[in-house]
Amino acid sequence: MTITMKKPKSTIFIPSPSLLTVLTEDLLLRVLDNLIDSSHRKAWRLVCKCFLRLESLHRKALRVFRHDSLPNLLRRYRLLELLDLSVCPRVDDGTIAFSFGAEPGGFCWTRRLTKLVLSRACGLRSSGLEVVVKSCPSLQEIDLSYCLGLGDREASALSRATGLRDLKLVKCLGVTDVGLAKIAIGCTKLERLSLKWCLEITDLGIELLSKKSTGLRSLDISYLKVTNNSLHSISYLRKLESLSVVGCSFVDDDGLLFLRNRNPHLQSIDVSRCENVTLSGLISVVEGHEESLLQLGAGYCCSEFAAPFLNQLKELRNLKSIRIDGARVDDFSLGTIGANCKHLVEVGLSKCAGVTDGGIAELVVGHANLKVLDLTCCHLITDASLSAISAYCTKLVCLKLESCDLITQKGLEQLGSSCSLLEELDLTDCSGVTDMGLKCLSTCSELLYLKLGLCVNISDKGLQHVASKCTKLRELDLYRCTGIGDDGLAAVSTGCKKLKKLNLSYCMEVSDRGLKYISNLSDLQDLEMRRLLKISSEGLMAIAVGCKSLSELDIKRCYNIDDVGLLALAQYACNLRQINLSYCPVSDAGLFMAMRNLKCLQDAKLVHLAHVSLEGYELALRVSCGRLKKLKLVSTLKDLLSSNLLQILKAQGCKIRWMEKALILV
Amino acid sequence: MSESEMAIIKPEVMKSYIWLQTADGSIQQVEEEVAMFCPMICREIIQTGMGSSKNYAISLPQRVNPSILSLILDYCRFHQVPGRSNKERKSFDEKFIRIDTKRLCELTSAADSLQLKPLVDLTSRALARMIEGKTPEEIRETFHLPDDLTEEEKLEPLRNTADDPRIRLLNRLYARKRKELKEREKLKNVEVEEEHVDERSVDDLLSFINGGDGDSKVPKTSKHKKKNRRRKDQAKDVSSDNVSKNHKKDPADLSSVEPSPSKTSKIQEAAVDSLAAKVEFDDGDIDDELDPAMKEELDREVEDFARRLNSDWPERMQEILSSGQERRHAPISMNGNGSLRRYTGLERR
Repeated sequence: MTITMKKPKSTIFIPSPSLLTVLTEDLLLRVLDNLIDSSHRKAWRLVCKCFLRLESLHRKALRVFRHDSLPNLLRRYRLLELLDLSVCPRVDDGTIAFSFGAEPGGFCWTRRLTKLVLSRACGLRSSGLEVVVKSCPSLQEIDLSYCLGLGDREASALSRATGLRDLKLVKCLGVTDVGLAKIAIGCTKLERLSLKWCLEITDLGIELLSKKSTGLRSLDISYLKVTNNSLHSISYLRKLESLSVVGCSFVDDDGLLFLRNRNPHLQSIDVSRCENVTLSGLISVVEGHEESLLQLGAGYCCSEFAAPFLNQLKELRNLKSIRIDGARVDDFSLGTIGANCKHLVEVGLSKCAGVTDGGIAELVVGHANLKVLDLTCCHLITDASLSAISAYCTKLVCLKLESCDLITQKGLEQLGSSCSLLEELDLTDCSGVTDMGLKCLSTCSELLYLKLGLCVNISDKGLQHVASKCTKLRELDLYRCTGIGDDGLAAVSTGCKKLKKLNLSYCMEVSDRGLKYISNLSDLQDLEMRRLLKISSEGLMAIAVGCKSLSELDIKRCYNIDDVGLLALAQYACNLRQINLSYCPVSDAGLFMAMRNLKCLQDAKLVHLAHVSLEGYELALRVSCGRLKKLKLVSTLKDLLSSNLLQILKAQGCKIRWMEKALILV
Repeated sequence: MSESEMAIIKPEVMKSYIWLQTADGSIQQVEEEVAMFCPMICREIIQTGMGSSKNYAISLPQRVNPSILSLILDYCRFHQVPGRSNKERKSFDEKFIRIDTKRLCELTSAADSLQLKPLVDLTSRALARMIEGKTPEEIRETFHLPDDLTEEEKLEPLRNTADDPRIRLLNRLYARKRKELKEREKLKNVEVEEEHVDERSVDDLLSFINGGDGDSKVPKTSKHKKKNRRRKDQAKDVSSDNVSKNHKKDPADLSSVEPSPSKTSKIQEAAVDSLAAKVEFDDGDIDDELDPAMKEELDREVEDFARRLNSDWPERMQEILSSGQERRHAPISMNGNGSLRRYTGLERR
């Protein structure tokens, strides 16, 4: 019998064929289409050269956080269609000239750009805008909101963007009728325009706009000092679909009368906060738009909603959304609304007096498609309302019950069992919410936004229930939830990995141990923890190292944080854009290091830093003045800081708020 | 059998078949309605009339091999039945894509060549789900991809690594090193004049950072150009190691912290190290007498430099402040009496 010896396996390694030989680049791009999360795309980029190149070809939208990485990014991503520079510091004429300026030798990346977001670019002026307009021939949408220094010269530069369709100029205080006229004449294809808070605009400007921009589909003139004549002009816009006149105090029923039977395609109108509008004005608006009107916003204008108007609602066959915040209602009116508007998806009754269980019951009957219900400050609501809501509105997505004190565990139990699609729930100031209530709520596993502020009767146990089941949670508000401590945070850090926003202000029991748990949340962007006396620099250091995405931090009145914590932030929290250090015992060195190293910091609240000297402030602000857009300082510094510094800050477009506050350490 | 005979024999009950030929030559027959589910096959049949017999089999694209073809046909066979509910289809799909990575890729490719869009979408999504949540290293392993990114690309220029002055210096040294090696390769016997200029710039850099302490060094090194350059570069590699070591020492201040930034310095260090090795290999002819002295001086210089960069910021600030100013303001009192004047310390210019 021969014994055959097995030969030892050869140690030659034969590499398997790589994926790249099997799948074409086209197919790889399809796979990349399905990777939506930015962390997954980041992993993709770091795999191999081919994948890096594919990602550069695939990416169409880019949001830039750092000024220094802008040139590299623009060199890599040549096929961009959307560019968002709203959170990038130091976006001014120089940056624009450098990034958008034509490259020698042909194809410039700006040719494909259709959407540009430049909101809060306070250093931007007309020369920068001229470069933008010249280099982006395909530009269709531009957002210049909150660029406070923008005026008519900039509007003139914009008017040369002939392809512009969507323009947002919210709070561009310098734009007057002249600038608006230029835009109206130059941008002939304009379809959507927002002039909210552009206080210099008058009836004249709106008149010219209506004459020239006949293709306008959406117009927002909220808070402008315009009168009824503007509405008269607007009534000639034949293609208008959406109109917003929120807070226009000079507009009244006569103005709304102009809209009667005009603007045949009007789908959405918002007249909230127009004090002089009454029901007859609303009735005029409804007339002629019975088929088309989908959204009606009438909050804080009429005090009562009487029968004539409510019966008119019957005519609005397609109405999907109605908001009557701040009005006085009763069961009958709510019942009429419910009966007349069969297709409601959104109902807003925030701060409405007279909302009772009976009214809600009559409102929700048969409305299986209701998705959004706002019952903020409807104090009379009890579990019976929740019972009715759970019975009919099983597709509910957003429910706001702030200050509804009479809600108890029973109501939440029914909500939890029926409304499993719930994504947003606001239970701020609902003292009836207990741990058992939270346990019942945890069955809503789709919850994304949960507000439990001022719920003093919940503790770590309840939070553990929520954290274990609601794994998709993105925002959690625990403002003044004094029963929450470190164990609750432990549960949150293991269960809610995608948490982006967390508010722990005044949760006194939270200590460094809790913060160490929080540091495991690598997606956390916004953290507010005011007046936590048990935390120290050790905890802050953990957060700085672990929460890599941290961009907003509020540690006002944390009296045990000192320079060491701030140095840790300076070293590790490189994405920080907004910080509130008011009343913290930090000193010159810590403040300087933080302001110097945090290259993305654009908004700083530095009220009453008692251990920082005048030189400390001076140097810290000088080293960061190019980046700062908003600053909050105690008013005594106004006369003490050097005028040179204040001038520089003003020239850069930085807005400084001077607080008149005495130093009280409570 | 001739086609006419086939036509006579064929009763209504018997299904009609389509003949498909894969790239390796093997021929399969498949039910007509199943095959028609594929747009490409469907078009072939309608436009060219092929596929009705063995001799006239439709030849499939190269990417489709027999085993994958049978998979695809299983898919078509299931989905072409009109009566199935969405739930059934979904659960079939879920089970269908539970195959190994290689076959999944081949399936995607084959489905694409047959223009079977729903299957391409399904498989792309499956591949994406396989990639989700994995680290780059794991992705490379799963799909046998080459690890060919350069160190710089890996560092993701999106993150601002050039912010730290230590890393900036290392980057500069690294870039200089690369340039010098390239030049040395190309121009073996050229004069050292250009290199002299380079050397000067780095000296300038060091002396600038040292605040003029290193000025005395510059004339010394310019004497022995060629030899010194090599030795100095060698020493610099050593000193850059020192710098990066000091950099690693930095988190000692914040001792309880995991050293994440030192990773970048490690990579830089590794890169500089590998180049240092190369230089050493080339330079076998070093004088020993000057080397230790030079080395010592440079070490001291670099340590000084590192110290200044790393710690002692409050002291540094005091230096800055006290160097220009006579009076020191006390911390601002909240009862702002008019006696406190505006800060003028930095307006001397």
